[in-house]
Amino acid sequence: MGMEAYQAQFADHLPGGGPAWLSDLRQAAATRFSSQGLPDRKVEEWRYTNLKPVQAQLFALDAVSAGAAPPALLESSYRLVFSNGVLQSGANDLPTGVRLAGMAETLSESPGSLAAHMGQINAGQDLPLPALNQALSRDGYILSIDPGVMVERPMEVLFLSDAGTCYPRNLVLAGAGSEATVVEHYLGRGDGEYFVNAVTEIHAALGAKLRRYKIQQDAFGASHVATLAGQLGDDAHFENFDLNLGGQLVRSEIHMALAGQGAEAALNGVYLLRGKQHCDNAIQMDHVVGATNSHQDYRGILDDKAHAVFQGKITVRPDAQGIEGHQLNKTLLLSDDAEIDSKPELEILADDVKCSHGATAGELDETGLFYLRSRGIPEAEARQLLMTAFIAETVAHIGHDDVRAVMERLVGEWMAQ
Amino acid sequence: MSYTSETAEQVSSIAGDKYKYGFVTDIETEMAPKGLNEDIVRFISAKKNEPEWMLQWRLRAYERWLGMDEPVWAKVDYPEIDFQDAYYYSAPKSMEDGPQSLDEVDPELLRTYEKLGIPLHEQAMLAGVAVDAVFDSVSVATTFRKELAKAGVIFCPISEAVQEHPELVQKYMGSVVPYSDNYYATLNSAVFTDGSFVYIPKGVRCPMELSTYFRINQANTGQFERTLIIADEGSYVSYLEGCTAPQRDEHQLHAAVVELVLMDDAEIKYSTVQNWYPGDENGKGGIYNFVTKRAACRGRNSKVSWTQVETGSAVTWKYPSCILQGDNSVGEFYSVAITNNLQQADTGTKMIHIGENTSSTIIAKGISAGRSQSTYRGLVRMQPGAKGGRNYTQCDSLLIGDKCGAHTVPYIENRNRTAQIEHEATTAKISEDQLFYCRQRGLSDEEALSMIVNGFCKQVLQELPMEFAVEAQKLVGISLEGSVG
Repeated sequence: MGMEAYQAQFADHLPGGGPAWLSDLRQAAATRFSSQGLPDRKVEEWRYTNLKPVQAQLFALDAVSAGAAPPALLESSYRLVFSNGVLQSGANDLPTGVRLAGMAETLSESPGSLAAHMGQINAGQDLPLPALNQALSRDGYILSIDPGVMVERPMEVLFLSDAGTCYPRNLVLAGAGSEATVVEHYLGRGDGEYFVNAVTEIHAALGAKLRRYKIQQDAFGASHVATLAGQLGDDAHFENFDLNLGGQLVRSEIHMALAGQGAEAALNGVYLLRGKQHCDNAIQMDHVVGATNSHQDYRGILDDKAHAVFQGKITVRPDAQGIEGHQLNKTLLLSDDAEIDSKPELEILADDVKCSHGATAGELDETGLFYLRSRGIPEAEARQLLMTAFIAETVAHIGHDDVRAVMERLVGEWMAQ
Repeated sequence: MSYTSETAEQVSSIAGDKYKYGFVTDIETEMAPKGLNEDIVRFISAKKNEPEWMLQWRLRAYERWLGMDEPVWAKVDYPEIDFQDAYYYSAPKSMEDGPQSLDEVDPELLRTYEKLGIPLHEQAMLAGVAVDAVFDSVSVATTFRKELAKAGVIFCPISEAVQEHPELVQKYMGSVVPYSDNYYATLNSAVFTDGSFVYIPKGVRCPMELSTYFRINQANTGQFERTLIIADEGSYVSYLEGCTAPQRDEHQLHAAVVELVLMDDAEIKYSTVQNWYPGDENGKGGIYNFVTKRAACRGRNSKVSWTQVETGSAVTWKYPSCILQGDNSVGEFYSVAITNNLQQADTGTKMIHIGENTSSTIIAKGISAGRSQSTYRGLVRMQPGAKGGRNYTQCDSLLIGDKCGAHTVPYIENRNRTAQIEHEATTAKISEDQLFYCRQRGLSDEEALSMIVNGFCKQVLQELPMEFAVEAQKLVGISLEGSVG
């Protein structure tokens, strides 16, 4: 099925049926994708990831429901559940000043409401995958927090999939001085060979504090590509953590613009891969103005024939003075067939900067292992301890206690397998 | 900031002399017609009286080049090069009959080399460096050949090696950098005019340092030299390379190829001080330096060490690489790249680990001043067979002034569990505290800057042979003149 047939199939369901601004946006995106197609490995940003297997999945028909949702990861969270890309159940009892709802629902209630923000972050949006998402998205979540509102309980959004395609388009609007935590959980059922192409846009206004965590546990046959595009205003603080456990072919792209003075972003992540899993984390940290700080810490463990890619780029624009930007990527290889390709990049066009990056790749430290074994700890257990410690350093960055506990549990489960 | 108007004046008044190698030597030359076509390739080959296999190799390269595109991935920006608007062969005319000894070399030429500080007269040589001097397209003099021959070392122009040692040239030329390798290497393969050839026999430690001095003199000429160094089992050689060019308003192309071959237990130390004319402060003129350098560590326990100080050229595109094929082989890359005014440098290295227990070290220091752009681009790859492979990479960038840029683009690929790769990079500006400390003790801005930058580069400069290290330290100071701000 091609793009047009696919669009025709869902013309009635598309939330953009009403507002003209959205159909314009959608049409422009469709044209953009059609003219570009999927990027191949000749494109520098895709030199380590081959999207060819995805081509056949792009326009697969959605299945019906992916079944009943499992219990929430977090106790006491406000929760939305999407089943194969479409909202299944909404959140209740939200505090005043907070909207957490489906995109389709929001657009039918007030068609003009999202025009000012959707698709407005330029960075990364003109790329083929986000364009495809814009053209075909049927739903997603909207989180908007009024200025000054602090939401104590975390928000949890589950994307449950088992077949077809899933094009969630998510939008987070954090008002000035607001504070919130949101967890996106992508969960697969069975061995489905479905395709997820998610986009999350983040607009954080003056002094907002936003934590966004993503747990990707899609089915081992699935392809998962995701784009996070963020724009941080003055003194806005943004923390992101990406845990990648599932999927056959995974690409997680982040385009973060530090657009206001005093803005700070911490983008961290962990990838734990087995079998023939492929996971590519591509991060663009853009220091648009001066007096902005950024941190990146990505770590992973690769077993069997797993292949991980890390491409992190820190850009400091001309005259963006007074910058600190740090980046770290560490990978452990457990098998002779695993592969890591790391490309930590710096592009510095101002002089009052302190930027650094570091990358390491190799096997477990033999002396550490020996130390533990010499104290009577069996080898298997010693290995697990060292691996857990290696990952724990990154997980420790997670600012929300309950979420950190969940991540630690999931990492522990992977190690125990 | 501390940029005083006196400094500015002083700098602008000496701006004209800053590049002290900018003179032109008035010498009669013989040139091939302008432009590039198959006839020119045949002309060069005929001029060199080359055997048929060499001509065929050139023609294959030319054929291939016609179908290639100029690489665009480097972070350098320059107007399209018109390959038809240059001379591909230029030789001092008095060389026509071939000088039998240094006494017959055109005195004008000798004076040029004296100005450059290259001791061509053997009796005047205290340093004990054997020199091969390449002027525009041809090698004009090679010193100490007899001495070297006693040790069994062959050191001669490559055009001569094609005649006298065809079996070695045929076997190794293109075996490290094939004629189809990349756009500029392919162009070089078609039109290379001269360069140096070195063969160190088994077990020989070359009794003196070998050196080549490259000089572009004619206007509108491209220089395409090719160097081939073969270090046989258990041999050692230290090789130095220097380059300068006159100050001209138009850009000139320099596309060289350097191939190093190392057998078991062999070691090559290759040092470069690249000081081609960088263009003026507005980016007018200067050399385009597009160079392919690669070493093949074929033997066990072989070791290659690249040290480069890159201060010249308007645009530099250069990645001296090591193919670590032999078990336990070692590759090293020490680099200082200084860019000022509108210079652009995209340089780095590739370490390809194939054999077991291979190790590599990369220390790269980039210094950007003025409105220049400097990029480190490097690849470290552990192949599945590189058991116990080890790499350590450190690249540091120093920014002087707020109009320049410093970029780092490393590629790190590990396909072996037991291989360890470590990479660190930092970018920062020159510290005000350090500058203040030096000034407070009576050093001028520029002396202070030169001292701090020399300290920043020390790890690399100390790898250079002594005579070069002194020159390089001075160069570091000169290249940064006028950039304290």
